[in-house]
Amino acid sequence: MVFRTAIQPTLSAANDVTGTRSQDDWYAESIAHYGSALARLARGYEAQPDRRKDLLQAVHIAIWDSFAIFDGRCSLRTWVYRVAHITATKHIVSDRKMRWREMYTLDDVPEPEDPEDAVGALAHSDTLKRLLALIDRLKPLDRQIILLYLEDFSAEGIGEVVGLSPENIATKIHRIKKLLARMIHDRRAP
Amino acid sequence: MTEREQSDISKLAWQSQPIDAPTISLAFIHHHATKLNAQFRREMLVLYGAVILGIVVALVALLKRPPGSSTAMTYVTSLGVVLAIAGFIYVAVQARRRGGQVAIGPEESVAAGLSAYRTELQRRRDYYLGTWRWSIGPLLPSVAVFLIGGIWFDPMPQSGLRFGLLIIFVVIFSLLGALDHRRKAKAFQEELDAVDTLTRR
Repeated sequence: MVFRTAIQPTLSAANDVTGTRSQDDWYAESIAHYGSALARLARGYEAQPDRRKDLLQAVHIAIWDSFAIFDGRCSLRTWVYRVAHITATKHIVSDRKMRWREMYTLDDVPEPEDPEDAVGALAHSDTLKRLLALIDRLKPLDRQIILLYLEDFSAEGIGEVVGLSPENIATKIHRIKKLLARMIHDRRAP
Repeated sequence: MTEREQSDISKLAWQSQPIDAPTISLAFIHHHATKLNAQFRREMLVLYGAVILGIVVALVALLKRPPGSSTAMTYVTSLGVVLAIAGFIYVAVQARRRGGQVAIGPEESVAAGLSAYRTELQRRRDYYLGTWRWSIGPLLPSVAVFLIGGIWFDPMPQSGLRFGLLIIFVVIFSLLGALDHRRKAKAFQEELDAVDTLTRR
């Protein structure tokens, strides 16, 4: 099965930090490559459509703002995702309702309840609903990791974004795979 | 179905989901980027404005002595004004230094993620918790000189009433400022607690 992979920046950041590219240029390139992924990221952090729109706007502003000091020491993709995840986490923290909700780690998250009947054909929309229910209950760090995993990041790539070692990430990915497998298996069971 | 295939199904479902994202223009970004930290910048501007106003009033008081004041009262006024100007300058320097520390650069946030965010919240909380100490405290010697010296040496009638009103004004102003900053510090502490709750393993 072939998946869309996140497009790597076509321009070397190191060649462009001399001031020849403006914040606007970097921002435009980022959105061209990762705009859709950022919208999905916002969906992973905020279920309510109006607030999701606000979150997405905040993410875009933070990304544009961050290019004032982007020096190319990491890839454009890593930079964009770091800024986006930090902004989204701030969104959770500043939301009083979300603060008081119980959130779990990957190790103790309960199986999300089936949003519809347990019998039926496996459809993408069903999988997506269950995925969202699972993501919605995770604490920020684990939420970042599963969202990056779903975007096809490698363990090294996820580690660069969230600041954990690849070994640590590999352990968490193992747990994510188990959770996803159980989720789909349960969905398919008659 | 293998575990990998089950993961791939999840990835496909995630990546092919319909997206209802609005179009965000560069003009919108430019407009809103300038509004970030606007409240904090406004507070700093008000503080600088108050400091400049205080220095101007103090200088006017120093140069324009009231008619009929005694020599002793002239000394009291001069000492009070000099202490007030020194206090205002100290407040301006502290505001610039501490305000600069609070305004965190995006590079710190991006480099250290949540821990940097936590540090940012702590700095803002501590800034508001300590403001009354460095903004009101340095002006208290001047106020004390005016009050004590005025009560003792001012030959003008009804000086007690004037200085009583001054005391009430200073106390109310200080209390309101301290309460407002305590409220803001509490809000940052609540956010810090939320970060701790959400990131605890």
